[in-house]
Amino acid sequence: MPEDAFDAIVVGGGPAGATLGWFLADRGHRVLLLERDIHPRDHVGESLTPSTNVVFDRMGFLPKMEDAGFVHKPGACWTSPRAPIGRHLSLRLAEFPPPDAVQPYTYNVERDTLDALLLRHAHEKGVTVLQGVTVREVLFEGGRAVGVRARVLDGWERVLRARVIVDASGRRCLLANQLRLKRKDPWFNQFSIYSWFRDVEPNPPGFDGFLFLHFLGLERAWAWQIPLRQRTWSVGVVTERSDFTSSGRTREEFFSELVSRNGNLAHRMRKARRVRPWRVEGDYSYSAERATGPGWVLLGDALRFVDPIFSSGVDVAVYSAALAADSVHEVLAGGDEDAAFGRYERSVGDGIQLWYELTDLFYRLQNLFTRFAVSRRYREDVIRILQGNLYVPVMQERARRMLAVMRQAYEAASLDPENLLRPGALVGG
Amino acid sequence: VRADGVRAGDGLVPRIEAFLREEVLLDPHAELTPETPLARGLIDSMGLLVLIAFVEEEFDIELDPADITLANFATIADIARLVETRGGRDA
Repeated sequence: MPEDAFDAIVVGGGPAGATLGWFLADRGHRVLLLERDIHPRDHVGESLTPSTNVVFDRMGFLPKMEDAGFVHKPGACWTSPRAPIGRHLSLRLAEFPPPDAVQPYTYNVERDTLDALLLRHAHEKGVTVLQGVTVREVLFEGGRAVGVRARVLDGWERVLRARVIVDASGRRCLLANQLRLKRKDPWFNQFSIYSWFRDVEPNPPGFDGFLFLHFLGLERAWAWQIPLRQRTWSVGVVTERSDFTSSGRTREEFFSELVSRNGNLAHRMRKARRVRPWRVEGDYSYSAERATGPGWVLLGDALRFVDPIFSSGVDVAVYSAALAADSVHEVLAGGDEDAAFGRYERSVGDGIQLWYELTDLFYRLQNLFTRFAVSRRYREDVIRILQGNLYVPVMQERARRMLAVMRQAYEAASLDPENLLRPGALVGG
Repeated sequence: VRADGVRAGDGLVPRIEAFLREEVLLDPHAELTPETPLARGLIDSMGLLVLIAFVEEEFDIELDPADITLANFATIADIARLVETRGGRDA
């Protein structure tokens, strides 16, 4: 096969790359996908949004999710640090079913399994998938991306060419680093310590599959507790990196100390056994200055990463992929690249920006989300936003309205020292 | 105060107290009178927000973020007064 026999080269075989590859192959394009690792491989980000189902449904992928037996996630619960054992708040995603909802739940997933299944799904659609191939750099001619230099595990290198180069390299940010477009967000310096556990006390009756989010009584920290298959739980804490580095503690000690700050979490973890090594994730917020350029497109984490509090990671990955596929298809069909890429840049850029602004407000004042989630007037807005897909105008308007109301509340709380929404206003949080 | 000498807001107190005991108090057996200061460790901020949502729904009023102050939520009696001031249903 000649080197330029591909219409598109996709760097990275996570959910973003596999989804984009699938949609392009579905439209008859020749796609080469290069994956550095050999799947299955570990990855953080085990909780999905309902909107992800909509994309998976279009790809005919949901039956494979069901066959894999991923835990159904009907919603989320959250607890406060000092609440009596068993007390939690909850929201069910199907209280307000999304317009294209195919089922009243989404999934908790082991990402090694999900990502491998999705990559195989793309392969079965006709994407040429090569694993164990590291892309060293994207090659440019006259300012336009025209190919990649790829290296196989044993060191054998080769130049591969295509009309469009898609960077789905995840947090490696291949192209954003190469073009010096990556900007770290100074405001977020979160990081997380997590692992998998067994012998965790199960969710209360009626809440099977719910993700639990536990507040820890610290302004910028929280914990997740996600039920996976085989009675295994993903449990992780997110906090300021400096709190960990200055604590002088081991990962185990630091994790245990944070877990002990929430009575419900500590109770449910009292007999837990860790069944895999600790994992640590940092680098919690960054973005590339641009999502596209001549002959190139960035997807998912390779474009922007936002703190995972709202489970937005895979949502961003598959929607940026589906939307980029529309634009790349248009370009490959002879359409105007600036116009096609401009549309992608706007819809995805605005959508991720909204995830970011919601996350930002959450970290400024955790109480805000509870305030509006339990309010009859705003509950629907909160739930619909958490369902994901902030890339379409109707959802973006909803999210902007909610953000405006939340900002007003934040201002009111900031201005009045007597306001009880303020952190620490009540003794004991 | 009505003609029979009963204060209009008195009926609110037991309803607020019952909800507090069931859903909000950190210690459901804690001593609680209409004048007990809530902010001194009896409730946490998540409980306060649940209480606010209850008050809005139960008495059909809407509270602004600026209403969520210590003066309005210091005790059950203060909450009852707030509901009355806002012309809450059944108040």
